[in-house]
Amino acid sequence: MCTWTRWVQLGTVLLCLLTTTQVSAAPQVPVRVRAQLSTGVAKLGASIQLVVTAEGDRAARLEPLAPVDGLRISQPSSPMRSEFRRQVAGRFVQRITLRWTIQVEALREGKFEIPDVRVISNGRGVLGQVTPSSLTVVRDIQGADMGFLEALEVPMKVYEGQPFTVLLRAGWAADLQVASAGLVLPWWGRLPGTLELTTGKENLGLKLVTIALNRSGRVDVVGPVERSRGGDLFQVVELKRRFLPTRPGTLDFAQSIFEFGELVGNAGPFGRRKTRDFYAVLPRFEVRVLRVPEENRPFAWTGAVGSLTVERETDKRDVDQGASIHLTVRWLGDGNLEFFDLPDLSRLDAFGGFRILGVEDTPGVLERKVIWELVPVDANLEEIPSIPLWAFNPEAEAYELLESDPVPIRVRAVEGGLDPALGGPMLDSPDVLGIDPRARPEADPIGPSGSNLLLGYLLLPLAWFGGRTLVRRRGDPAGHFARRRRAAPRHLARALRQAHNASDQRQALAVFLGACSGESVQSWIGRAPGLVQSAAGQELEGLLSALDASIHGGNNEPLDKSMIERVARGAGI
Amino acid sequence: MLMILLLLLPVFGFAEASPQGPELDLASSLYRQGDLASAQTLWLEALEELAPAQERSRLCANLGTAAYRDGRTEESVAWFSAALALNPRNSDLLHDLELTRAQAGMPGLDSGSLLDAFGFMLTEWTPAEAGWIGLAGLALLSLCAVLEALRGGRRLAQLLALAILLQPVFLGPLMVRSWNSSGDPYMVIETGGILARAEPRPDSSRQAHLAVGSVYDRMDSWPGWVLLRGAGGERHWVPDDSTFRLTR
Repeated sequence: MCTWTRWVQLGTVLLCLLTTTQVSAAPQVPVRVRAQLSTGVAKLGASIQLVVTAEGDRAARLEPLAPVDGLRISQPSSPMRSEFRRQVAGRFVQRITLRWTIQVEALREGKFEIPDVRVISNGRGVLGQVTPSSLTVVRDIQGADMGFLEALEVPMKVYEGQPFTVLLRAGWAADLQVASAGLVLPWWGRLPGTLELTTGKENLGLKLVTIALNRSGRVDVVGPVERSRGGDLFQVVELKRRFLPTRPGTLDFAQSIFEFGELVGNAGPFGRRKTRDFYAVLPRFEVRVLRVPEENRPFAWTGAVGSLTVERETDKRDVDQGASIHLTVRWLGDGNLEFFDLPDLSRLDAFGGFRILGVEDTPGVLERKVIWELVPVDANLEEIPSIPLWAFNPEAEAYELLESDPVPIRVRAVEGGLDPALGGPMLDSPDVLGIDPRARPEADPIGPSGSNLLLGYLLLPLAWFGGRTLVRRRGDPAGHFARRRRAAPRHLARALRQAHNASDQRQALAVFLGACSGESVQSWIGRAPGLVQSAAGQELEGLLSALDASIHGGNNEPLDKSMIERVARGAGI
Repeated sequence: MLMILLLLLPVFGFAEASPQGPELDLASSLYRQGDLASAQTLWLEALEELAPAQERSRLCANLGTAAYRDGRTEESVAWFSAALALNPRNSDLLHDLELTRAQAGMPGLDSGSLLDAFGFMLTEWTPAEAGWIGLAGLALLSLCAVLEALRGGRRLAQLLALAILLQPVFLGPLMVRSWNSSGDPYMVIETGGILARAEPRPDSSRQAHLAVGSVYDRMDSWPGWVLLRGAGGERHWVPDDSTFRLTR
């Protein structure tokens, strides 16, 4: 019996171990990886996708693909996940699929081997071969014939701070019925060391059309307009961008593509039009950015680069000494107008006769407008001197001095001199306030003398002690009886205000008399007459009798409250 | 009744006004015309007469201004100090005094410390004002004493004790003024200070250096010399023309 039980226990343990082993082995099922290229042969500029799917592991992760020379392969993003559950032979089977879409962009023609993709599942790497394993990129001959993309006005070299323009012109054959168009500009927004100059008004009044940009955005281009090119007619669009290089180096404009689709069929039931796509390629080009030379650089150069001109104007030319003149200077031309420092007029000897109150600077792409507020402090001034600005002219490759024309002015001297704050004569150090010529015959104010005050201080304790002793002969003024007696009139007035009948008034009067006399309240109720001999006492007894008569007479009508208060207070109790 | 009489008792004290001569206008005119010496002579003569405190303060200030114009900056400090003592809350005098002290290389009157502020609070009153403030203290004390005598009780006793404790605040200006008027203060006006001698002789031994602007009480005098007493009771004989009497 005992042996049989032991065998059952051993079997149970083995079963558990087996189950555990199976459970832990379940994830060991390898994930299935597939990689599919959208095409094996593509035109240069066409969009190619690599779709990678992994089945069986919801936590699988795709590693970035190895780089391939001539191809730009995007980084894998978050996968799309799909799950299916179905019943097979009475059992539920779950199928999990992860799907990554990777953009592949050909930078040149040629045949490229696509490396295997690698998916990480449960810590292990699983390779998946790409199908097809190679990609052949060919030039779109038709696209090059039926369309074009070219860059105009691009300089080979510029100096740092020298603005330059990139004009992209794209077109398609005028006889084509184009349904879609777009530009693929890999350098768009990715030119390091440059600032894009825009006024927001470049396309004002021009015919515009919006086309796709980099397959995800939109951009406005000028056109389309019909133009002849090489004897053929094209519909042409233009995109102009202006850049300001901020540091020396090389600006790399990677290969750009103009893609356009010819409408080859009618729209289907869902409105999707059938098109044939063409690609026109603009090869990569560079712009070298040179450092502004230090040789012969003037000390006063403040960073201006470009071919500039200067204009000036003033709001007035006939002023009083100390009045302000607004001098407006505009620098115009092809240069870094927004980015150079203004000349410091306070350091120019020519402006020694002026005080510079302020400057209002309005930088812009097309012009630099500066308004100086000048105050002539010298009445002998005859002109506002020219304002010098050193600028490096990239065309002449030399520093040039731009000077505004002097402005003739007339300054009228101000009587009494000029405010020191505006450059007038310096003030002397503080001085004494001067004599007071007005006599002060008023007599000195009367005040208590110290000796009299001392006498008062000496007598005060005596007076206080005497008064205190006198008062306390009649008992302690802070004692219960004294405080009750002092509060009696106040209590009487309040009780009389609250009394509704003669009984209440009688009770209030008894309380008052008891407090004043030091006797009990009961002793003043039903008291025999004749105890108070004075006239006031007689009046009080009359009042008590009147109250008793009202109470016991049946109507209990209250008497006049003020009369009661007056008689009670005057009784001298 | 007795209390009321006590309160009125200190009021019986009057200062007399003095007549004002026409020389002052002349002195001012002379000063404006640039005749400083004549103007100073007239103002000094007027100062010798019995005049109200405000008028004496004005004369001292004018003499201080004249001394300043004459290049005697240390003396002008003394004149403005004397003027400010007679008219303690005159901001113009305070300005002139601070200015001349600074130009004479003396420290400012107000260093910004709490002690200085307390000192100003005690000394910025005229004798009459100080008396009235003392009387206010006495009135408060009397009121509390009357209440305590009539009503008794612990709270009124505490109130009386509080009034007694507050008396130094009320009497402070009067006490300080009495203390200051008890002596005869002299200010050293010699540029760079003076050497005090043991005896009123130029060849006597040199005992101490008295800084310009420092103030001492006069104890005695000898022709051409005054004996000053230091804060610790030291005795300093100094030439008469090196000092300035501040009580005017």
